[in-house]
Amino acid sequence: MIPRPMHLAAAALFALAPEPFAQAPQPRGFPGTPLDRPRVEIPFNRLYDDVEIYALLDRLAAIWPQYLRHEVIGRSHEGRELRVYTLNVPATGLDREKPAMWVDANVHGNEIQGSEVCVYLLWYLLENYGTNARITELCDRVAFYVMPLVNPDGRASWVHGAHNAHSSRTGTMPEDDDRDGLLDEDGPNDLDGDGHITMMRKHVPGEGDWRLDPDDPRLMQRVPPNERGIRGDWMLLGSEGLDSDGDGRIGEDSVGGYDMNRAWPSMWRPEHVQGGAGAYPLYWPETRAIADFLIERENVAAVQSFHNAGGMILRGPGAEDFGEYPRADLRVYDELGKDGERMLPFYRYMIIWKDLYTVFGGFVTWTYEGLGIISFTNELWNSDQMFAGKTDPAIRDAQRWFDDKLLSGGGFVPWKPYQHPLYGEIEIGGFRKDVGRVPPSFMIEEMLHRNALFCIAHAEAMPAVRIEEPTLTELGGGLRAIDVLFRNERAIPTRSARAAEKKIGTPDLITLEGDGIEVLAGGLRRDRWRSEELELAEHSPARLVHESGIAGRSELRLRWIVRGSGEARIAFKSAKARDQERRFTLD
Amino acid sequence: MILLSIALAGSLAFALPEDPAPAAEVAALELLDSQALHAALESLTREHPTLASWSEIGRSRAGRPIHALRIAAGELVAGRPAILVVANLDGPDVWTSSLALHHARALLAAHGSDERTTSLLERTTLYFVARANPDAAQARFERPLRERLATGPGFDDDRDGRNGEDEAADVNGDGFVGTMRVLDPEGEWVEDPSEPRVLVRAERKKGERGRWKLVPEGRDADGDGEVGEDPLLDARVNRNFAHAWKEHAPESGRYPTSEPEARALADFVIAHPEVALVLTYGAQGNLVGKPDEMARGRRGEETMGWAKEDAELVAELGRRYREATESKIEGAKEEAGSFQAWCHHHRGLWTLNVAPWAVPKEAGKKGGERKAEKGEKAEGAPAGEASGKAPEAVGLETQEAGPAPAETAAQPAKPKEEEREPSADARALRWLEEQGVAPAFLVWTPFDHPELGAVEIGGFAPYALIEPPAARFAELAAKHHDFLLGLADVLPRVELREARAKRLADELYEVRVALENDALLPLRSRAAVAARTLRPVRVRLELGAGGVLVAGPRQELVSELEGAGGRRELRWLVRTADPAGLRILTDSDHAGAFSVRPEVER
Repeated sequence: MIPRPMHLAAAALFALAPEPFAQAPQPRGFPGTPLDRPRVEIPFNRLYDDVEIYALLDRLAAIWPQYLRHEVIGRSHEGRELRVYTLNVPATGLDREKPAMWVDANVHGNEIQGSEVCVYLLWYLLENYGTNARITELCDRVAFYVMPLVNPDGRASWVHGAHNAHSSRTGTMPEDDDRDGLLDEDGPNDLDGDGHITMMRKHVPGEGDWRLDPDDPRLMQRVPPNERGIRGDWMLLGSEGLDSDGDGRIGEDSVGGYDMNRAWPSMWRPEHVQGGAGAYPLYWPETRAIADFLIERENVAAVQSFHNAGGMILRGPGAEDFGEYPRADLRVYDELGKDGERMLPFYRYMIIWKDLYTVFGGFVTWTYEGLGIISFTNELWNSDQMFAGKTDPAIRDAQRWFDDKLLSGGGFVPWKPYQHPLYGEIEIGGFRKDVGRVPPSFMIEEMLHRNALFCIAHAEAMPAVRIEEPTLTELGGGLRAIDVLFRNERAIPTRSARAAEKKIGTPDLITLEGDGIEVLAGGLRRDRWRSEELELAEHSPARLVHESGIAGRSELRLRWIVRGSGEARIAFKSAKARDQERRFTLD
Repeated sequence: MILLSIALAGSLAFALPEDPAPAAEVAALELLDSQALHAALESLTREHPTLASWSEIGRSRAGRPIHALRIAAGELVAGRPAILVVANLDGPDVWTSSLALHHARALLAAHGSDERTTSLLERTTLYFVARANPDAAQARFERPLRERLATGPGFDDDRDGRNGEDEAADVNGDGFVGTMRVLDPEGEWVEDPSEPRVLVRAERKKGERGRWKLVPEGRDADGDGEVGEDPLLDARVNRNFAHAWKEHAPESGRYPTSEPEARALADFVIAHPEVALVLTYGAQGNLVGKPDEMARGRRGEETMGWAKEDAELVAELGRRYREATESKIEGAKEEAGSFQAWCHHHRGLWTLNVAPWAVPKEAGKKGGERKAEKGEKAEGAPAGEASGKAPEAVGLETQEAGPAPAETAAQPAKPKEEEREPSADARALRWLEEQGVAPAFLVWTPFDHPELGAVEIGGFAPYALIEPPAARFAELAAKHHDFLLGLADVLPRVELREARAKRLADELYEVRVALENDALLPLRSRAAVAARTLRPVRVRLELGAGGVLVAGPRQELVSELEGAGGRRELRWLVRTADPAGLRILTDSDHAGAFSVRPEVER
């Protein structure tokens, strides 16, 4: 972990013997749940606003103040707190001494349900800590940094303001989208005042391209091209809005207009190449606060970011020019990603630039390319889930059918007449903003649980290194060889191949010390069987620097040539694994 | 406060310009620390409160304020174009602040009396950030003396798990961080026969074996056999901007604008959309040599070249620059991650990069003083920059590590075996000594180095190759000021001409107006068009009481207009009983704001 004053060395010693998990009561609930009566009851069948999300987490922190605390890492454009919740068990060490997982959500203001995954994840870990063996082992070993609201302004606007499913992706710092010298002067207008930006349609008998669905007049059908002169009676006029600035366009300069997931430094590209990028990387306070937080914490060894929608487990690179990942890292990604596909039915494990689209300056591309951390983005909710993947082609409009049969029509705002200043008599109506990208109430909890457990699987893969018992070989003449094996028991390496390649962060460090011991030479063993095959260190053999770290579920063999006797200490230090120490005596 | 003008840069010299330039006063090279510099600028604002004002635009990493001085005269109309002059962005170019200070003084002194000055200040706003990098500049005023490029967070350069444990230092206590030469069987350097103090690379292909190894002056604190290989600081302000930023390079910083100085400058530019042109004094140059032509990269690939149309206009400005200054200094190419590159490629601004000084390359060269210097590009780069690794160690033709563009470029044609052309360093040294620059060179002095044993410490004195001799400054300053004054009619200015309201019927009028730009530069550079920066000029027709727009735009956004007579006509139909009430208005960020009442034709 990072160098800390004084007490670090002592704390690292305690880390050798984590508190054993013992005599925990058996959970009485159904498998996978916490106790039959959790200490904190949270309705997980609904979504919350920004204030409520923090309040839920504060309830958890009130019950488990020793394990969960938050810090304010900055303020949003509108001054809302940017909170990072740290889950750590102090009895087993400081959070910065442990490998840690970063989880965030809601960088896009309208993509809200990841915040509830954050709440569920922390709730699940805390409720199970001390009762479930696996969760207890995990919480004792690692820390979590959870930022449920990257863009609280955007969320507040989406939840409380007038929007459709796709608007309020941005933050709320004003921008001149239409370059007319005015800022945010022509957004959508909630003409009917119902809190949803729906559609406008106008009845134009015989002059339109649309007609009403004969089975369901709420729905519009495009009149197919034909040679018989058949036209529809309706025209569609786009989203609810006026031309507030009188420039002949409607809703072309709404609040904000940028994308905080195009703001990150690795292969960041300016606005004209990557829309929404801002004037320079990390231009907005939300993004810069996160970057500074993560740069400060080299112990972060796993990253998960939550978005919606489409049902995807995305990995970088965001752009082709990064090239494919090094093979060693790819193995880790594939293992986690393919397990994720099994844990998350309807989600596909995909590569951003290849399977989705090119994203310059994306967050998880930066956390991997820039910081060397294995990172995923999940796109929560896939409309195939409405019919468990068995969509009947006879159903022409699946969303409408689902709304009709399973939501009692509650997802649709009925068409209502409206007198528009430009278009005259029109009708306004359509699907609500919370239809399409977020799941309906009854499907929320399953989404939260599966994604939280995907995070937990990722966290369990963070590196854990063990130093095996050293073996001694007499070389004659008072010289001895000490062979030591270091084993990483988890899937994620102590240094990702990308981190080693780009020299990111602090390399692993292995030392041998002892008052009566002189270290004459030392190095990495190239060959398990031929002990003379050594990559000898050029200087300071008692302090070996290992840039490439220890690969996942893999081992590292070192040999030192020493003279002398007495107590010896072998120490392993890594930014992304707990420091380890082993003492032994040379007779 | 330190007014440093005696100890190193020779005596404070007042030289008359050879050619009486319009500058109102004779300039002296003043090396001012940041406080003294600001005091000088502040006193100008007190003397000229209606013309000049200053503001703090940010603070350096060490907390030193960074100031911008604003000078403008006349009516402060919205959208009047501005020029931003930035000096001392690269750490060792401390002296260039003195050029900026000279501009400010000369402008303020001559306003109202000199016609060119008055015209520039009436039309244009000038901003001066005379010291963009105060932390690095501070090294100029401290002992031991060293050139400092890096001011931001360090990187574990030697990958030993520690950062900054092996910094270049003054080990022999002579007050300078110089260079060490060590006799070494692996050494690649030999004495230049024409000037044995400077070293040149051994010509191994001619059987010459190297004798000396060159390393920065310093200890081997970590015992790895390397000296000065892991300095405490690595990030450089002028490699910390977003265009073509080199991720993972130690000098780049953790992310673009992670350095507070870089962020302050970037935010200043963003907050001042009236800035249409940026003039920088530093290592980079594009007025003597042309900018490279833009290469078409893959999608999203960031290249350094300029669009042809923009390059042609800069070539014209370059012609004017050479005419004003007679400079032959090409300067370094536009650097990836630099302020200049960001301003041009991401902000679409005209960036005029001036490398105002270098030791004359032709000095002492065989075959004549005024030999053509084509293709030698890196002349203006500060000494030590040729070595990627140890910027603080100075002055030798090149350091041992890393590619050395300056060295290869500066090498003249292959020497004949019997007579080796004096190396560029030898010629520079001779020239500096002829000019009386003292000390130009630190004599090689034996030193018993605790880790390396017997070494010699010496080399070019810090800043000797960077700063002009004091006696040359007045002329340099006057000539550069002459160039600045010539920028008055260069910036775009969209004026309304031929505004007419022609009566078509009773109360129906056809209103026409022409928008014209007489300046050299177009309304937007090709870079601005590509980057979609610099907002269009907004044109509105005010209808007056009872007027009704029958046809035509409520607001027209004019985003492109050529320079040198670029023209665009607009037309409306209006029904009004009072055509005298019609008015056409323009509004813009950087090309002026005008209004006119159309002449009514009945």
